[in-house]
Amino acid sequence: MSASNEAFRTCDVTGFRVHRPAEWLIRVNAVAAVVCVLIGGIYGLLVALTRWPAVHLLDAAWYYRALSGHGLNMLIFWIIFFEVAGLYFGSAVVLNSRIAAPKVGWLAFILMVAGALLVNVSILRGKADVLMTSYPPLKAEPMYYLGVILFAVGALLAVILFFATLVVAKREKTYQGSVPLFTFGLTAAAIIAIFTLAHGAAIYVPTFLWSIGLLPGIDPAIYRTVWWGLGHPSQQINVAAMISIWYLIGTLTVGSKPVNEKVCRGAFLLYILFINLASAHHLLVDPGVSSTWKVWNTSYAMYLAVVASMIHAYTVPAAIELAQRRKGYNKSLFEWLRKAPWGNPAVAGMALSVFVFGFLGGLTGPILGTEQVNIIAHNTYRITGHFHGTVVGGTTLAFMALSYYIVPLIFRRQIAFPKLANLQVWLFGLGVAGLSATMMLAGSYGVPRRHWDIAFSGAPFGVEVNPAAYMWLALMGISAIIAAIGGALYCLIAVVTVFFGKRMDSPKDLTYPVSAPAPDAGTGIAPSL
Amino acid sequence: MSGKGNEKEHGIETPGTMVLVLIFLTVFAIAFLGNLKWLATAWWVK
Ligand code: HEM
Ligand SMILES: [Cu+2]
Repeated sequence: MSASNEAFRTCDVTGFRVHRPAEWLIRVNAVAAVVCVLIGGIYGLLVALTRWPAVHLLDAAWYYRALSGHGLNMLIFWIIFFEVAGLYFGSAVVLNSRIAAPKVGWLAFILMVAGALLVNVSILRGKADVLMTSYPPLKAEPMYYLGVILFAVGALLAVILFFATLVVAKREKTYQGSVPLFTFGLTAAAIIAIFTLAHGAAIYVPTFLWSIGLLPGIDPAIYRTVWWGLGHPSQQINVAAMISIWYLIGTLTVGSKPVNEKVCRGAFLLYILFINLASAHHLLVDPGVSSTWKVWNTSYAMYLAVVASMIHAYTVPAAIELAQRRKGYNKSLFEWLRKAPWGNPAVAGMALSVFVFGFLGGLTGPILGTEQVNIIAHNTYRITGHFHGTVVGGTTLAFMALSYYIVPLIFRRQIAFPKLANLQVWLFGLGVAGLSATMMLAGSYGVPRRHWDIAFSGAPFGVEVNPAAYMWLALMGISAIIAAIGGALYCLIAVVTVFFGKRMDSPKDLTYPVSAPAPDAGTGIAPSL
Repeated sequence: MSGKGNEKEHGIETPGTMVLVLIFLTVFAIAFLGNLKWLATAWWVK
């Protein structure tokens, strides 16, 4: 063994050998994630209150500034800091291994923090009102692109460190058999991350050079094509991470195992192979690419990735049903569901995450990604509603739910305000469900996204907007407030727990119990995780 | 099917999930067809 034994502690709950340097890296990345979700959430609320016509809070410049800050802090910084923490957890901790190179992990962290700071400062200075996509000819100051690049390099280092740790664990034989499904799913996410980040480099480096005056211009059509090679697959990283977390939460809370390892793993492979093609659904109204190209990429090929999601849509609840039935909850069709440990916020959070992702985010994606429908839905609020179902109701909520286990296990603290934690997931889950649904409904009346004033008040020409749209926008504002309260509670609970929570001395102190594996559940070959 | 003990059976072991997935697929189909309705109309008019 190349790391001394003092560098490890044995977790008295899970029995994992936890490498302390890995634990520290998980801690700092998780804290950074929470800071970003707080900043992004404040921006999100401000933006939502601006889109509620009766409130119309911010002026035009600050609306676009806040929207830029919201997109970046949420979609990029919160999600990726959390995923990096997850990658270290899924490799070093779950496999009982040392982390391959802790110094690289710290370098990655410093780069990511520096990048996030540069971007946030640039936005607040008003020098990067370009929204998250920064489509040319919109141009931000160089510091903004530099921030994005530094953050991406840091994330790339973290992904490489994950792979290196997998190699170390294998070589030092710290686990038996094949890696658990959780780690396998994260590996799929990490592979997608590599080609995602390659697209990122290919587009942000020239754009940076353009911003400092070394390149004369950037072709908007090429920019969009390459940028979405980053923008879309990165969503599949989030989906793969979220689904891995669903499986993990099932195991932790009801002792489930995958119903069939081969099928679940095969589904992750389909993501790796086919998801990049789906990027084309962002270009369905672009004049630069042909119809044949659009139709091929957004239908036949992409459906193979949709099939993967359909498989998980069955296997995730099935694993839980099977485990619950093995525990004796066999009466009627749904006793297993009714008798699930609903008082545990990880369970409620996961159930809401599955529901919102499936019915609001997942279902609407393939519809909006159909060329004929996209022609009318493109750049309307329907799109924003769709992805608040996926990446907020689905991914973000799954991350929050998992936190109620990761924080006690990694920070060795008891969750502060456990009752509030339950309220937190429900407020956030239902608030986001409302947000997503009302955005889509408003969008179906043609309300555009990224628009400060749909009434064009004061303009020389009048614009007719269906009054129903105003009602949906008002309901959206109310949903946003509910979701924001849920999000704020998450930050509050996380911060108080991490810095002031009661220390855990024994497994008894664990706020939410870790379930024993259900007897003979599934055909899984994985160890208990 | 349900209501039985722990022995491994070869029937459907997860009937509840089957029902949930069927509900999902039904909603999916209705939503998709609803969205394509305008297309059908356009084709009709032609
Ligand atoms: C309390 C929670 C949230 C609220 C109230 C909220 C609200 C909003 C609103 C009102 C918009 C503006 C859309 C427009 O005017 O065009 C928006 C955009 C967006 N949101 Fe959220 N959101 C929340 C959480 C999140 C989270 C957690 C993420 C990502 C993980 C996220 C990602 C985005 C993205 C990527 C955009 C698009 C930005 C753009 O068009 O450039 N949101 N959100
Ligand atoms: Cu996409």
